[in-house]
Amino acid sequence: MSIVVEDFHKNYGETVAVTGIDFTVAPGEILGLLGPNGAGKTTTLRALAGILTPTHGRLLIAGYDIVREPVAAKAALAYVPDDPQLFDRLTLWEHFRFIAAAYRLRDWTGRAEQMLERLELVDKRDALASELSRGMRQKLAVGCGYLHQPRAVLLDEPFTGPDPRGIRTMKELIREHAAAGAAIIVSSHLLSLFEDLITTVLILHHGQVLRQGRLDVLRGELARNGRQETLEELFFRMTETPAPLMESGQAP
Amino acid sequence: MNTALWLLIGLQMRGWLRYLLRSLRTLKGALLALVGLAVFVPWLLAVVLTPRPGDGVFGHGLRDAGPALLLLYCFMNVVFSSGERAIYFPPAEVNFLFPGPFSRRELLGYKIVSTLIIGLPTALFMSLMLRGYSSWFVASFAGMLLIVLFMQLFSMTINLLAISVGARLYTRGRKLTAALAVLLGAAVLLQVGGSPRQWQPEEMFNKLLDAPAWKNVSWPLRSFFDAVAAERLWPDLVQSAALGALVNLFLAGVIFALDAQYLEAAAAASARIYARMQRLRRGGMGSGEGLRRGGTARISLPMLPWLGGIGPIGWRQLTTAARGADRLLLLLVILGVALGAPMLATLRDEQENVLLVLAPVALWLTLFMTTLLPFDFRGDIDRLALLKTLPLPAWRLAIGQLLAPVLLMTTLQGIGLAVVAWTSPPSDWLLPACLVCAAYVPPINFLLFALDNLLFLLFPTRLMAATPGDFQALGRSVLFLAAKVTALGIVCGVAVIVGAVMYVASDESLLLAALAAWPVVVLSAAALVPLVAWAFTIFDVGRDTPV
Repeated sequence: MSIVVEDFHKNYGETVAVTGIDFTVAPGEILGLLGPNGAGKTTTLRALAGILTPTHGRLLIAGYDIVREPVAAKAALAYVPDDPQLFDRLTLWEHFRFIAAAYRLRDWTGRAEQMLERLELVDKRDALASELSRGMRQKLAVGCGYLHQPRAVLLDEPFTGPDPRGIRTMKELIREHAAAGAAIIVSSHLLSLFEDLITTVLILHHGQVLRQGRLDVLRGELARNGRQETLEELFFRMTETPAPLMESGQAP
Repeated sequence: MNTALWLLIGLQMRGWLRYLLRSLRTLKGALLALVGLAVFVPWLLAVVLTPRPGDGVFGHGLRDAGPALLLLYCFMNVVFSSGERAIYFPPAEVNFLFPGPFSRRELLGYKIVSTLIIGLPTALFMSLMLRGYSSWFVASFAGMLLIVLFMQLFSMTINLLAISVGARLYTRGRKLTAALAVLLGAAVLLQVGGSPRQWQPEEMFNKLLDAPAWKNVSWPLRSFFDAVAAERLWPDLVQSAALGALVNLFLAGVIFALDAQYLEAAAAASARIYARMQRLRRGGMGSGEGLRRGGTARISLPMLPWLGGIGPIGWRQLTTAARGADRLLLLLVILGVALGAPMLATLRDEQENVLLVLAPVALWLTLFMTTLLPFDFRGDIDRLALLKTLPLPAWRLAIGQLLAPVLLMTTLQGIGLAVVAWTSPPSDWLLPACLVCAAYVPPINFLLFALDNLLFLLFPTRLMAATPGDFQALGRSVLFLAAKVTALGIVCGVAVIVGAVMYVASDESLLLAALAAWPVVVLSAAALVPLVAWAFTIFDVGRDTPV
């Protein structure tokens, strides 16, 4: 498994953000992380990226524990936050240069050129990052993320910034990298854009897993129970009865 | 340190140079930079060419007083800082470096090197300022660089210790530090001997600095100041700088040895600091500072009457000001007391002149202090598009926008005036003079804030500190101040002429002269409303607004 989450808990002081979640993402799998605001999606992704320290539990990236072997784990990882902040006074190309140096890449220029072309950023190659719109910033962050061909990709709300063509390219890139063996987690509120992309779904609510499983299996189960639900309808049904807020020390 | 992090430092320095040079390519940028240089170069020459002022701070040499001031800064940093501690990383570094293949120690190394590079201009500036206490510029610069680095490393060490031991233990540690400071003070006093009541402050300070306990505690810090004041390369500078470097290396060693799990605290604190900086970019000093941590509004103001749309616009700015300006008002009050009290004490014997002296000083201070109250168009730089969609004529919008800063400044000056009236001995002229001043305060404030807004709307810029070496920002400030002084000079000139005519015509009545000049100021202020409205109308919200 490329991504393993075991009994992950995260508390912020006395507030419980995530309480005891478990899941795995295999190479080639695209996991859709769903949940209303405050469900614990970003906390989970940031903990997997090594930015947050888990209160309890084990998080593995490509077999490496993100807490005990952070450098090895991060070398196999790409994390793109929901509102990527870039180095304002560096050009787009300089961002790629830095990423190539950080991940010790050789012969990266061709791939970077290709990435710029696919993300429609060729004419911005030497522009400063401060001149980019939010959608372009997101595209560049995604391009930087894919440059080192990571084995695990974490994308937080990747479809909120780009234009329709950009969204299509993002989805193509996700599928291609999954096909190449990367394990991918995509968190998004745009369920309709999501539905044709993900292979597995995990619904979080108040820091707990409400439902997880392969999307086709889930649909099969629903069909057998006489329901023809879209992902959106399933999401609303699962989250319409919110659980009470949990405090530290309470059982999930 | 990872080679990629060295590359990043190099790329960022290149980016900074590119930023400075790029804006010089335009005519406007080049002219602003020229004006900035025209102010900076004479200042620099004056600093370099002025003869040495002689012996040191508070009657002591820098060698003696410097460690005391540095240690005081360090203690203040620990005792008076907020409970939560973290190392600040800009958002881009959090995004790219935290999930990147770098160890925590590598990132700390990167931070220390970045700090050292950022400290270079500070050290350069400080060594120029301290030139009088140093016989050799190189020594002064090396010493200042070591001091700047020490302050940063000290702060980092405390932050990482706080993260390592936890918030509760850290709070206890702070109390312990405060107690230790008190104990140290007591020990020094005991060693000095005698009764401190009998000493003069300067004598007491001298005795404290000579105490053996103080000398023992401060010896590691003394090396920094020995380096600043070194007269020869060998052995003075080399020995003291090496000792200072060892002190810094020790702190760096502690930082690396701790290897604290600082990423989470740093990411959270950095996000908050960045959000605060963004608020400052949008709303200037104090904006949003009055909100509690959870974002709950603390102060609510009643809605103002409609007044053709002026009321709600003014209410919004006043509410922002009320919620954001508590610390700012405190600062203004402290400034007022610090500057006003000694002046009042000096002028009490010359009661007839007190208002005549204070009024120009207050006017001059107001000229500079308008930037502290940007609760108008200047604080709304990211909301100008929204303001343009409101169904109001531009002139009413302009008045509404100017209402809050004018009211705030007028209130502050009104309090100052009341203090003057209250503390001065009663006389025939005092009440009329105070009333005349009170009548002049609102239109003059309106005039100054309207000028600020007019210049801002015509030449917009964000309210942020300038980057080191940014002579354009300096040039812009100089030009804006010159424009304000010129406009104010013209208005005051016309008012004085009108007043002088009335003074002669009314058989030398100062009161009538002041009353005759007042409409000139009011009309001038009013004449700026259509100009501000016009500048707001032609403001292009799509244009790139430089920081």
